[in-house]
Amino acid sequence: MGEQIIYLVDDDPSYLEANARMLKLSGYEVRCFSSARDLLQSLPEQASGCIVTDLRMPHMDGLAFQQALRNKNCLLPVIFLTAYGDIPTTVTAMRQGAQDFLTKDASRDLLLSAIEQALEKYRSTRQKQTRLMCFKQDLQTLTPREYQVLERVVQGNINKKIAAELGIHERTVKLHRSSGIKKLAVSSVQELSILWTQAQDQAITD
Amino acid sequence: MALAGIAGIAIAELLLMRSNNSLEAFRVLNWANIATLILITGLTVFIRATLKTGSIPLAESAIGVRLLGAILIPLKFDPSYFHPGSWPKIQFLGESVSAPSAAALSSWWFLNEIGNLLFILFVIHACFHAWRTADSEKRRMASTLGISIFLFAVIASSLSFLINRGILQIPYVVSIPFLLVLLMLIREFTLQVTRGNERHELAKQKILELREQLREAEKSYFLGQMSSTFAHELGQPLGSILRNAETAELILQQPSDDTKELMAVIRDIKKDDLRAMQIINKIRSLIAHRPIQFKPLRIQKLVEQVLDLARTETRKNSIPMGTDIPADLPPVQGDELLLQQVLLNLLNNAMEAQENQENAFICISARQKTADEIELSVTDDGPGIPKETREHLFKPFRSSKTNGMGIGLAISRTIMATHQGQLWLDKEITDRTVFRLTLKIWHQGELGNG
Repeated sequence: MGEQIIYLVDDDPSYLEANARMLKLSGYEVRCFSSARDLLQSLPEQASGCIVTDLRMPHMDGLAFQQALRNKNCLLPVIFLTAYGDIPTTVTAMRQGAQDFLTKDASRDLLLSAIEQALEKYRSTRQKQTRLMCFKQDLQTLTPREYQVLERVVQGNINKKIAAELGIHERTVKLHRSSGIKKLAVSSVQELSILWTQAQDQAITD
Repeated sequence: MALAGIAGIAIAELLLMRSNNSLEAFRVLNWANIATLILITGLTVFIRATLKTGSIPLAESAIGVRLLGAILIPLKFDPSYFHPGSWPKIQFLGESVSAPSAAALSSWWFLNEIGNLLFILFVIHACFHAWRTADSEKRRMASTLGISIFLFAVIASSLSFLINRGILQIPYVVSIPFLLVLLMLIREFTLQVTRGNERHELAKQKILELREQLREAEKSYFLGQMSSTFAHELGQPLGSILRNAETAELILQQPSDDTKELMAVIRDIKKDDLRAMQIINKIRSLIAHRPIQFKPLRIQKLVEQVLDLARTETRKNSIPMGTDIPADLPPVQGDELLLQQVLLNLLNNAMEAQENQENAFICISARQKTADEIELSVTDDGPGIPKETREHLFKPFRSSKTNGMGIGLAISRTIMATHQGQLWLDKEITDRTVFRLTLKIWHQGELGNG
């Protein structure tokens, strides 16, 4: 995982500079953008870190920006800053999956802890994403029989039933099952089920 | 209708009293039958309309039988009843009048009597029904109207029955009991009218109350919008100051204190502090409890003041600004400070629209639009306002500028409204941005009533 970067977006140059200065001194890598459009244009595919953006901006406001990031399948968590928080926008932003919502006069401690949480969130999302990618690759290595057996395991069938369904011996089912689980590197049937469903879901949305 | 009927009956009665032979009386009685038919129909319709009840079959048969009578009786004139000589005259109220009995003239007369009976039944039925409903208003109407009509019908028909059969030797005076009904009708109508007036008064008062509430709601909405705009404006510099102060702390905590960076941070703090002060001053000048003062203002002078203000505020990007104002324009009525804010806001928008643009230009022009209005326009050569922004241009929450003016177009429009003027974006022109506003011309001795 590359270096975590804080992407700051604000149309108020004074606040942008002050915030960037403080965050840099606090030990973060910071990139500044004066508009959401600028960031969207130059955001690298594999960016890691989080976004801290103003909510009210000309051309593209925070909520539209959030939507654009979602459309780009961007994993970066978004923290909204606003000079004055009104409830309807806050609710909309949180519903759309904002990581956090702070006013511009929030203390440094509050902002830093929000950023830390966001970075943590990003790390775990990223980890899950990588695990899923590996799992999907491993799925390709299964033999057709192993696939058939595991598919039925995920559905919650016992070996005896799987054997009857596929018309093979129960001992053969056990064999396919253990070799498949080994290939997919999962530690339990529960983990297998979760990853299997996620992989299936992603296949559908793709 | 009922009144026309009773009038007809009254005339017929008079004619009957003066009739000299049976043929004459017969003709008059036939006309009286038609008048009675009209009266009964009228009363039936009236009862149905006011009491909203009453048996329709009963009403139909009453009217039907009377109609039959009115048609059949004239056909059935039996000449054997004809008395060529003069009628027996009787004394009635000191006058000598004829008093023929109708049954003697036609054997079909009983039809009328049956019709009357049916009508009485109809009235009783309708009154009974209306009385049974819980509505107190209807009950009252049933008791006054219904009973008066009922009494009239009973008196009139029994009177005519007795005269018809020759039991009573007096002329027909059916129209007199109708006075009773007439009195009740008049009373009922006056009641209805006064009640209607009362209701109208109440409704009017309610409308006034609602209008007042609406005005209050508008006012508090506007104040809410304005305070959130200002809170947002102030939040920017205050947030920056906080961040910079935190940065200064961090610098000082570090072993190698960076004086140069510290100086930059302090300079920014001072800059944002000034910005916050300016915003507060703008709020004060706008919403401080200062009465609006309408005075005669020269457009030329007003515009020059605003241009000076705009120039000092934005020395960094000096965009050329021109004016086109005829020297002979009459003065307008307005509050100097508020109008300055409106124009300054438009100028700032125009300047922002042309930031970093070559050949930027702003023009303020004025002309006399009508006999009592002057139109001012602020034009810039910027890229124009995008369509989606145009729709929300004057809505307070939609203004997304952060480092612009403290007042939005929404506030400007409210200010213009208190001047009985308007502020709008010229939608005809798309390659430039033209904002127009109108102001009332000052008339000697006349005070603005805004």
